Amino acid sequence: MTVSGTVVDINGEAIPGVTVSVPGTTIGTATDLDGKYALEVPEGSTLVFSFIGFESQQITVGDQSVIDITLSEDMASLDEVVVVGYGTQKKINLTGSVASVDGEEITKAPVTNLSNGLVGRLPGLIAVSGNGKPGAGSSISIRGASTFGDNGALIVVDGIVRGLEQIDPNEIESISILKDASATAVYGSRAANGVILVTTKRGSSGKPTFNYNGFAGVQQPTRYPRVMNGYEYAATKNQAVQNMGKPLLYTDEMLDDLRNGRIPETDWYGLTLKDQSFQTQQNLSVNGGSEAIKYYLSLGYLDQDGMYDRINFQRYSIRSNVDAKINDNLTISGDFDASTQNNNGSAYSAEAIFDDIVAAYPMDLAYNPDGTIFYTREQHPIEEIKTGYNRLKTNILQATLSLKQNIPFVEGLSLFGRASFGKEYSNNKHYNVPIFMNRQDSEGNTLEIYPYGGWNGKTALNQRFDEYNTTTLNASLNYEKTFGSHELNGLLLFEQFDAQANNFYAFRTNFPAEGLDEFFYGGESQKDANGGSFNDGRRSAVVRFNYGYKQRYLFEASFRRDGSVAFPETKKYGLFPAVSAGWRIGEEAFIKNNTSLHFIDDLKLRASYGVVGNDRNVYNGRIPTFQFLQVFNPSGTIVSGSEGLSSITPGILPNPDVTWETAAISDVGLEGLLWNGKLQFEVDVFYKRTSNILLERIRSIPATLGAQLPAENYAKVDNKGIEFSLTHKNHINELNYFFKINGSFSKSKVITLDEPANIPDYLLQTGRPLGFITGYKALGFFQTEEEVDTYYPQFNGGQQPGDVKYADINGDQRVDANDLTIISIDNSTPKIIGGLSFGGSFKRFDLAVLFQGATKVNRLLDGMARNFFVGGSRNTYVDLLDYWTPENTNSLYPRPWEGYHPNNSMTSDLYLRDASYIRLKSVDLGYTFSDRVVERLQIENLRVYFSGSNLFVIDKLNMFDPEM
Amino acid sequence: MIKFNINIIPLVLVVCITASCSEGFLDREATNAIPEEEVFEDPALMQLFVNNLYLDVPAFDHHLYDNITDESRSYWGGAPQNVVEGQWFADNNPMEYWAYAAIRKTNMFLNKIDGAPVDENRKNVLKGQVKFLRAMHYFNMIKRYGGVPIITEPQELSDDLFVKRQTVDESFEFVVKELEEAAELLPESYGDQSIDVGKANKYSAKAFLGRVYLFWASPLYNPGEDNSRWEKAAAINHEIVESGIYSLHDNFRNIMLDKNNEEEVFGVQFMKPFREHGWDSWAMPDSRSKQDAVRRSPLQEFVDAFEMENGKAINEPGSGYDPANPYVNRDPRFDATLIVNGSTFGFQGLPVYLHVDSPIDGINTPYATITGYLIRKGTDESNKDYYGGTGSDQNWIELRFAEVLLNYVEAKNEELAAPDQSVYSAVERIRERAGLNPYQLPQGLSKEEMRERIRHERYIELAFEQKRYWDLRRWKVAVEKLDGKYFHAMHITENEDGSYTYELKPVIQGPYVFQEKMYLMPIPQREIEKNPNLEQNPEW
Repeated sequence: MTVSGTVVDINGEAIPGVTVSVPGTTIGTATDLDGKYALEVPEGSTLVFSFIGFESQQITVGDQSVIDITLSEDMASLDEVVVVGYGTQKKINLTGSVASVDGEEITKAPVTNLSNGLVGRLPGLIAVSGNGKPGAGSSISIRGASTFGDNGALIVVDGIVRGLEQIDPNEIESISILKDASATAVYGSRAANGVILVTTKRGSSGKPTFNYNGFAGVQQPTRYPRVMNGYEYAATKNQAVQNMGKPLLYTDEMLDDLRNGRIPETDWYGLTLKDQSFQTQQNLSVNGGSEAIKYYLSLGYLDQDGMYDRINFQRYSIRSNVDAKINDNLTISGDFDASTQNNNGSAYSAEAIFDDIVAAYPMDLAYNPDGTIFYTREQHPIEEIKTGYNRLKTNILQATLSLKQNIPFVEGLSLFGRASFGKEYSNNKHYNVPIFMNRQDSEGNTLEIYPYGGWNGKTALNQRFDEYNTTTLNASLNYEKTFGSHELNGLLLFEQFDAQANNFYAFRTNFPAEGLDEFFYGGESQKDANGGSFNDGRRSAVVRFNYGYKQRYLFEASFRRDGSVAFPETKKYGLFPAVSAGWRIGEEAFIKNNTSLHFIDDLKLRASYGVVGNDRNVYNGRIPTFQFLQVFNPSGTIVSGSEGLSSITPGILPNPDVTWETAAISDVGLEGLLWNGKLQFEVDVFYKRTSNILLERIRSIPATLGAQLPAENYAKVDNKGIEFSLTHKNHINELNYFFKINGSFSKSKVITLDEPANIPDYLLQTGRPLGFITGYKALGFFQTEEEVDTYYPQFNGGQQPGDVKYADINGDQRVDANDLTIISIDNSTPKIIGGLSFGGSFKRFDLAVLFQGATKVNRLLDGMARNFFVGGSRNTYVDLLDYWTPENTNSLYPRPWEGYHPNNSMTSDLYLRDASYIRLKSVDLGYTFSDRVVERLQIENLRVYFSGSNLFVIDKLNMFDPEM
Repeated sequence: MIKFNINIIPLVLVVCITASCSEGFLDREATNAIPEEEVFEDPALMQLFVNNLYLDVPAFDHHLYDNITDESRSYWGGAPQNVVEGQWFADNNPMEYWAYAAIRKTNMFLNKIDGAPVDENRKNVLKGQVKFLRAMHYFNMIKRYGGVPIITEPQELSDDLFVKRQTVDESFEFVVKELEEAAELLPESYGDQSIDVGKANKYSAKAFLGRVYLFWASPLYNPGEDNSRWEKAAAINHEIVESGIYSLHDNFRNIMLDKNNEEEVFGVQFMKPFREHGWDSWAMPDSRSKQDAVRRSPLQEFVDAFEMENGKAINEPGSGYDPANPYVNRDPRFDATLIVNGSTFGFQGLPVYLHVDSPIDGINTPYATITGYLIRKGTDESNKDYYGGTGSDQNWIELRFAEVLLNYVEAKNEELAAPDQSVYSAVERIRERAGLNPYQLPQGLSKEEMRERIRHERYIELAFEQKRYWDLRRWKVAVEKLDGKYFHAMHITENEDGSYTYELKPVIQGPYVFQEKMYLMPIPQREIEKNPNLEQNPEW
């Protein structure tokens, strides 16, 4: 029979492009521009009407031949469930500040490291891209800096504290960012910098669904600093040596030859760095199950090359998440994931190689005419890349068994237990081999064979083995029940964490040949072995209570008590409480019954206050530093006659009272859903006071104390900020589109900090934001000798025209160390960041674009960006060509010099640059094949996409990437 | 039944976490370190602690202290060039020595040692050594800053940390007292105790005290010209000379190479592979270099200071000096100290050419001498293993018997109205060992003439041993000898007939800036900022 009809939305407007199909068959069509459809179907069929952004409807065809349908827009966001600490909650019931993102959104564009996928997507999340090395992630902080030292968020993956880099992004179901104290207090002593909760995918009942996601692509460097060519180098070098009173190095004739290309030059960039490097990521997963057993199994592979040969990152990962429903009340889950990561590189670090590429002398050859290695004396990046290696292989295993038991005789009460083992083994093999440079005279006769690098000119093998084993146990009671208008929810949890680590290190040198890179080949004369161990432990209890009345008034209270090995007996335990409340204004009659306010679907005001802790500053990475004990550590070797004698040296001065940092966080948020979900917004204002900040009083305690200072709980910092996100989704005919904007601004202020007793007020940190930059205030350059003579005495004198002239800040008519001042309040961590993404779908095409930007960020040029010919001979960035000469008096840089100049290299605002930027972070264009094509291939869904990351950046820095 | 079994699992887990396994779980000790109590319970660990204190003794210097005097200059610029040009400040002083971290360690040791279960003899030895080391750190600070805060106990954070500087005299008095006590506690020798080779003994403490007294008596620290300080300096140095414990090594060239010889009074011990330095590497001409080279280019002024072998200065009548062939028949220490154009050097046994336009090593080519000279002193020419900052293991001889003799003669000459025979014979002992012929000084020298002879002898004998800079300061002659001066390089041109033409030119780097205020170095700026009781030296 034929069925026809019109599909309209709740305003009666026709919706074109709605899919009308009969499930389990190939019968289907789509509505036309007027929303009309007609379809031939067997009698008694079920019709499904579906369209993105609307709730699907099923209609069983009776005897009617005309079926008109009104589709209502998808209000799924009202039912959205988000993962919170030790549980899940409906988003509408949240009283804390939580942002979340789906795994699908993150992996739509290729992401090899999870942290990179979060950049620009979530309000309040500050992520700065890393160095672009293969496998490298971004550094992530939540709501900006509010303590000294480590501001990194706590990362929790399926209830276990781990690193984001250990997880294949394809395995992610969702990520939640817990920002305020009410959301994070259940993580107590580690929550002050915020918490990132990662949840991996699980199985669902139904037939097995295989999912393959793969990409292969190339990456290019965003920006390299450019260095001088031969002529520029020689001309500038001549200026520098002339300024230093040395004889000129290049005659006019040589300069002329260089300018006209008559002297060969080596393009060190071109010979080392690749224009593009390859990367691929493949993931195959299957998910499915029965009522009793559900499974998600995943196999992933990542291979990422770097910007030169022999640097590469590989990750092989497997995951098995299985849920077994033993009976109506008992579910046992086994989660196992294992991965192997290979970080392969040259014996020289990427930083050293890059440094040497930039430093290499343009007129050096790379190789002699006979093919032997040219004698460059200082560096040879081409050979550095090829010689030796540094390989780190890390094996990670996390095995978790958990069970959930509903207590049958108490409705709503359940028991949850989890035991998890983490095993990490890493083996680092670093093999250093010298580069034998062949020094030749102009006739090609060998003058000497010069061993460069290696370990003191010899082969050497460093090998290191590390193991890190953790056990996390937790058990909890959960209660969840609704009594009429009252919703109750309770949690009581105990958790214990134990870590044991060992490391072993050995060293041997003088290997007979380059290929013989095992210890037993090594020479006897110089060898070393070393190792040690450490352990860590925590024990905690958590209580949380939620109450909701009529789904309108929401209340939550929670606290965690934490104990840690890192603190002395009297300070071992800390208590971290939080309260919060929410008011769903949208449910009140005065809004619901007001027709002019019908555009409001949901509106909620929430507020929270809590105290959370931070113990990172008594850890050195994963190692608790036991700052309350005076200990002695192994130190160097002395000699007596022909014997080597070992020694021990005191560690840091103990602080018997060392304890947690605490952050008191207040947060007020307003969130809403308007116009049938077309507009969603969320605004949060927060105020965070971090006190008892662990800090060495290095600024105020005279070094005559002679001790390495312990961290003490005394500093206090305020951090205030606002963050918002705005999402607009709509469709015009067959075009669906969305816009998402998010932004964050935060401002810190030091309340208490140790200040040196004798510094002027204008250098005090108290009352000012964290991390401002001090230096001299540059007044430009001395233009004449007369100007030098008539100006105040500056340092110990000796300035020449073209040297930097500094301001006399303290008014004592001389310029010296007492004239340091604040030259910038902003530093390299941006204070304002934002992200804008938009996209949509049209027919079978879909598009997503993400922009990200930051401002209120300043960078201080240093090293090669500040000095000419660092170390005497290294090449120099072209930006420094704008240097002072009597003819170029209004220049960016002072007169050239070799390396550090005692007057001109001082930190001053001359070298301060605005590092604001707007970056096209990713573009992703996809095409979904039609069902007909796909069915022939026996797959459910096939999408191909083209995607690009970091395609361009708008900034003022120019010299190098603003995020670098 | 099955259900019951399964239910019990989480209950057991909860019970375990909350009660039974709680005791001690969070009470742990660091496994990567040793608690302090254990250190002072165990003589072996105490010895390891004292070993560490010897690591704080300064030894070989890469290229600073010799390159900021009238001995040599550094091709490499950097810190020594900044010092030469007067570009050093309270917040950036390459010569800074604020040794309170090392001093705290000595204080921790001395604070705990008395109650420790060690036999009395060993306790005295260790105490003596640590007191000696502490005195050495204080002395190294006093010679830079004048009076410094004297701290003898390990301070706690709750103590008043705003310490004051003692006066110069109080500071010296403290060092003197400590060295006297150390000398009391220390044994005359360690016999066959192998772990104590090169460690401080009774005589090294006294010899060091001799140096301290000499400084204290010197014009910079003795503005009141208290002659009794010269007397004390002469007496204590004389005691060492007379004791016969030390003597001059017969071969000047090999003083640093023949390890632990009779001339070493106190030093820092090196032995590959345990502890190495780069002395040989740093001295290399570029043609033989491995990752470092040419750290000292001796100045023409220094070269000219060497007498002829006959004991006459080059400008003295009858010296036999030939400006066209200037490097022959000189004081034998000349060849043991310097590499000149054409000198044979290194295990290859090949000459090194430093003249203008000589390939690789010619003056003012990259990585080459900037004066026309290089140094040979103390280098092990058989060493093939040198590389960068490693590969050498000569001991750093901080104090050797020749200095004791020179300390004695200087003090005695200043003490007396005119030098006595003991002064003559001690100076002549050094000149005789040097190989001068005749080695005798002219009789009847006045006090002032003898003073110049002694200063000359120190200049030549102790060159490149980090002594000259401090001598120029303590004599208060740095302004006169350095300030405003251009020092010189020798540009040698090879003629077509193979002969050489010698031309003197100012060395790049200069003029030297040594202002009056620089006799006392500035207290580090960050310390002035932190401590309101700490007074800065004048004019800084």
